[in-house]
Formats: sequence, C-alpha cells, structure tokens
Amino acid sequence: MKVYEDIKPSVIIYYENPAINHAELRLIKEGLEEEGVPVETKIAKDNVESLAINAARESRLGIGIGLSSGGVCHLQHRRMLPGNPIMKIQFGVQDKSYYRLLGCNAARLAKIMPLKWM
Amino acid sequence: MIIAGADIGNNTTEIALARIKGHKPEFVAVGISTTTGIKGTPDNVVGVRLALEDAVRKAGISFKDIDLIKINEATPVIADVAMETITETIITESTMIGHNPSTPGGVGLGTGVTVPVFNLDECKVGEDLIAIIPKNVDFEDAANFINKALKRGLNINGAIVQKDDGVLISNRIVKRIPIVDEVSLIEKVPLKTKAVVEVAEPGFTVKTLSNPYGIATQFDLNPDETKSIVPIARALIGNRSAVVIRTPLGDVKERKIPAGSLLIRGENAKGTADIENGSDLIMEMVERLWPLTDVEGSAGSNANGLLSRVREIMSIVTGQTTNDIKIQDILAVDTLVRQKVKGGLANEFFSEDAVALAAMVKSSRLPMEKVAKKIGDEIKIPVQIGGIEASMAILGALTTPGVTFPLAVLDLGGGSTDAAFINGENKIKAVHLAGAGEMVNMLIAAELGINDKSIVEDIKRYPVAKVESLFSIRLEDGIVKFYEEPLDPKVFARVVLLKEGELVPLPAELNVEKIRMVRRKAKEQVFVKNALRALSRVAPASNIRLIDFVVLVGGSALDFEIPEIISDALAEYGIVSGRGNIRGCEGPRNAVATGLVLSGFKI
Repeated sequence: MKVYEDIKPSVIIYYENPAINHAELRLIKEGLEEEGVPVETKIAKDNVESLAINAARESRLGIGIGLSSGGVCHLQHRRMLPGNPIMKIQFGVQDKSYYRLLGCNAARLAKIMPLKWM
Repeated sequence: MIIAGADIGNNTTEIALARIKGHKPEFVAVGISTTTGIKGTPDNVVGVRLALEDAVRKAGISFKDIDLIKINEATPVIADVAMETITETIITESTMIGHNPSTPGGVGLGTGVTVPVFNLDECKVGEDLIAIIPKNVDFEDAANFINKALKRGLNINGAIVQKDDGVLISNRIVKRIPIVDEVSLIEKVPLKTKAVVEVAEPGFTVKTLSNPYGIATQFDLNPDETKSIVPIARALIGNRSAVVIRTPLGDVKERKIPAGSLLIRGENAKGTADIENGSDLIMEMVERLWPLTDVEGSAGSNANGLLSRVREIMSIVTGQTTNDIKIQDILAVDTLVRQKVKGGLANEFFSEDAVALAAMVKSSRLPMEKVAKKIGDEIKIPVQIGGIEASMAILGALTTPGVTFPLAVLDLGGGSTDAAFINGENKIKAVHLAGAGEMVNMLIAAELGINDKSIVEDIKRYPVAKVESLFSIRLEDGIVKFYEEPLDPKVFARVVLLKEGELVPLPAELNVEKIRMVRRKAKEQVFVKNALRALSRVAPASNIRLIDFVVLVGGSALDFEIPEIISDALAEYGIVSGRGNIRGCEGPRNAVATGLVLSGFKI
C-alpha cells in the first residue's frame, strides 16, 4: 500500500465510460496539459456528484473531476460540498470547448490562478 | 427653541439639530444628504430638505418644531481637474507582440521568416523560419506540420499561435523552440518577414528583445535605426515572452506631443513654466509668484487645451464668460497614463508620461441670499445666513476632544483643500487650494488604466486583498483571513476590494502591490502636498512649525488612510494632527453645521 507522501500530486478524473467519454476526456486533459498540471484518470461507476467529490478527495491537490457517461461534468475541490461544484457542464452542451476550459480551470485551481469563464 | 445648522458643501449637505436650553445648545441629531445642484444655487433646497428630514426623523420631532435654520456663507470656490499626456507611442506597420500569455511554450530565442504553418511544404531546405499558427489549425495538426518540416531539414526556430495552445504544441514537437500563444490579432502578423521570438524560462523575463542592442543585433540595425526601436524594447521589459517583427516600412515612433507652457501671473510678477519639465518646476513657480491672479497656457498647445477645458466647465458652473474666469491656484502632478499601444497585436499597454492639473477659481460671491430665501419660502422656517465657512469649520472643529487654540483646520474635500487657522487673539486666516479627492481619482484611473468611475472610487476607498484559496484571502498588509463558507469561484485567485464585507473582483492584470502603491502615491501627491501648501499659507509668519494642532475634517478625512498619511508627513514639523471628532461623536463630518449652531453662543 502507498503511503500518502508517495502519491504524486495530480488532478484526478473519475469517468464512467471509456467508450463514450473518450472525446470529452481528451479535451479535459488537453486543458490540464496546456497549463502544465499532472493528471490521473480512473474508471468508476457512480453519479456525477460523487464521482467528482471522490476524485477530489483522492487527489493530493484536493482537485477532482467527475465525468458521467451522459457527458455531465463537475469540477470539484475536496473542501466543497458534493452538490456545489466549482464549475459544471450540463448534459447536452453543444460547445465542446467547455471541456477544455474545465480542464484548464482545474489546473488553474491547483496553481492558484484566476479561473477563466466563457 | 430648536436651531438647525445647514452646511451646503460641494458634495454633501449636512445638518446639525440642537435644542437651546438656557443659552446652551444641546445637540439632538444630525442629518446628511447629497447636495442637489451646484453649491450656492437655488437647486440646493432639495438637498437641504432631504438632510433636514433625515435629522428630524432621527430626533423624533417634526419640521414645524424647528425655529431657525442657519446656513453657511459658502466660499465661492470651484475646482476642477484635467490631464494631458505628453508622450505617445505609435507603431506603424505592426512590429511587435509584447503580452504575457500565462502559458507560452518552449523556451529560448528564435529568428526566422514568418510563414503559415500549412505552407511549410513549400519552403526550401535550410531556410530559417517562424511558423504562424492561426486558430483554425488544430494543435495536433500544427505539431505534425512542424515535425514533418523539421524532418525535411527546415530550420523552424519559433512559432506564433493564436489560440492558447503553446504548451500543447511544444509537448508534441521534436525540437524545443520558443512559442508565443494567445496572439489575438494574428492575421495582422506580416508574412515572409523577419521575426524574432523569445520565451524566457519560468520566473525570468525576456533578455534580448527588451534590450535595444539585443534587437539591433538580431536585425542588424544601424545606430539611427536602433534609436527608433527603443520604445519597443521599453514596452517589452518585464514580459516572459515577446515577438519583434520588422517590416521594411515599419516603424515605431515615440511622438513627443508639444505640451506647451503655462504662463503664471502673480500679483507682482509673472513667469512661464514648461510642462515638459515636470510638475516640480511648475509648483515652484506657483510658490514664488503666490498669490496668483491667473494662469494661461501657451497658444495652440496642450497646456492651453487643458486650461480652457477647466475654464469652460467653470463658466458653465458660475455663469460667467470664460474670459472672466481667473484661475487662483493650480496643483500639477506628474503621472503615467496606461494607454493602449497603437498598432500592437495583442492589446499591449504602454505607460505614457502625463501631467495632471487641478485648477481653482474664485467666482464672484455665490448668491446665498437667494438660496436662503428659497429655503425660507419652501420649508417655511426662518433662515439666517451664518458666518464664513472657514470660521464655522474652526468653531466646529474646536469641539473635538483634546484640541485648543491656536488651531488649524484642514478641510479635505472633493474639489479643493481648504485650511483655516485661528490664533490666540481669535483672528482667522483661511486659504483655498486646488486639488483634492477628485484629483486622486483621476490619478488612480490614469495609472491603473481603469475607465469605470465607480471602480476607481472604490479603489480609493477600500483596501485590496488577494483571494488565496477557496476559503481564505490575504489582505494588503499580509494578514490572512479565513471564511467558514467557500468563496465564489469567480473571485478565486483574483485581486479583490474589501467593500463592506463584500469581495469585489478587479481586472485580472492588476496586482495587489501595484494597486496599493498607486493608490497611496496618488493620495500623497495630492493631500500631503496640499496640506503643506495650505498650512504654510495660514501659519503665523508662514512657518508651519508654529502650528500645534491640526484637525482634519471634510469628506476625504473619512478615508481609511489619508489622515494617517497626512499625520505622518506633519509629524516631521512637530504638529499634532488627526481626524477630527466633532462633538466627540461625529467623526470628521458635521464641523461646519455644528459651527453654525454654536456661533452666537459663548462656548
């Protein structure tokens, strides 16, 4: 078992379905990459609120992202309430660039830089 | 018997209500309202009525209980401010990009000829190139184009990107090159032109492109050409990434605007001061020629434009013709104005030199009799015109616990800074100077480049802080404050104003230190300067050291730091100075209104 100090600091993404979430996941990771913050991903089954907050609790940075198979996406911080994410993307959003923005904001949260809003 | 003292000021109208019991006034309530119309005009009646209503409500009495209203004999002083830049940077044929994207890609210095990334196929082997990547090219495609071209033997030495893709591209290409991204106006970048791209290591700033000789080396410039690119180098100082492109016809000019000079007429002599030489020389001349009879700008110059603007406003206010407006005092302050560089490609700003000027005119006596009559007619309470404003302010200020004769009062207002001094023999000397709160606003707005007047007013009035986490902020003095509830993510990591418990986010490019520095400097330049000027005019034998007590009153004395800044400066002269506390309870407000009630009674 890993001791806490061994865990690499990174933003953690929990997502439901590798087949369906592929495109959105890629965009989120691009946002994080551009900002230069490491990211880890894991497949998990749950509602989006729990995915996000559990990811945040798992992350050493305290920042997690939950992505449901329907494309709903929450950006969460360990100390926020589960139903009150920092940023969320609703079901059926047309503009896919929101996913990259969410990834970018996850990284900015870690770097303590102002978040970007559309 | 109940008396109301009514002080109609430039910005606010204040009331002091007192019940007279056996020849002693006993204060029962105060009222305040914004002044309606210009001070000294019949429009003021509405403001007086509103302030009276406020006081009457607090006292729990009615209008008809008031037996007498005393109004001030307003000092006929009107001040205004204006500013003129004296340098201007123009870039013809866009030649530089000097902004700070948060995440540029790669690192180093690259030189080459600009070419669109999708046209790299057409370039010859061995050519030095800079790739231009507009927003319709995906970063993966861009990386593929560049990798393919590098394999073919092209020297791609840098890239300019429109989207925020710098790091993504950098991570996907085989050679480490400097990449500047978020260049919004990329379509204006000239093609087939020599360009230099520089990205510094994190934590450092560009070295070559912020140095005129560095640019000269890259572009092979002669000494004359090197002189002409100095403004570019200056504009790029402090950036982490930069691009300089030199088009054959392109040029950057720093134009000196002929600012002109001021002709200052004193009672006994006159003199001219060049605005270009800065405010210190102007103020020295004002001191030497005091008292002034008028100030003019040299014909056709910006100085003239500046003063005629002031005159025009004055003439509207006072109803006199512009020729009759005689400027009695000016306060000049050097400043820097943040202005958009004409011809920049990514909304670059450049600080231009400017001179800010406050001017004060004495109009002919304001018709307070008319105001008094109108109040009497409309509110149906007898009105009496009380004493001179300065004397009333002193009477009011004397109710501050811990002060005594001889005493000076500094009235820090919005338009003018006034001082009055009362010596042991009850003789009062008063002076009115140009420059106060509004000038501070103008300086803050110019140096921070903010156009929104309400934001500027808030920056003046509230301390800044930086949101450091979702639950904590760090105030400008370094103290950290924690919150129970998470803060709005929209203010996260932003610089904010602490406005009455609320966090108001400010534009992202400003930082806490800069705001604090600009704010305090503006206050010092106006209020410290004017406090010293005013006090030395009213002091016995013009010697500030002979004053023992200074009481600060007026709206700007409510500011959270102006009284401290002034006290600090006056401490050098052995003066006890501080914010007044009228009647031990009103703070620096209500001095004149209180003085009006007290006048005529033995204190």
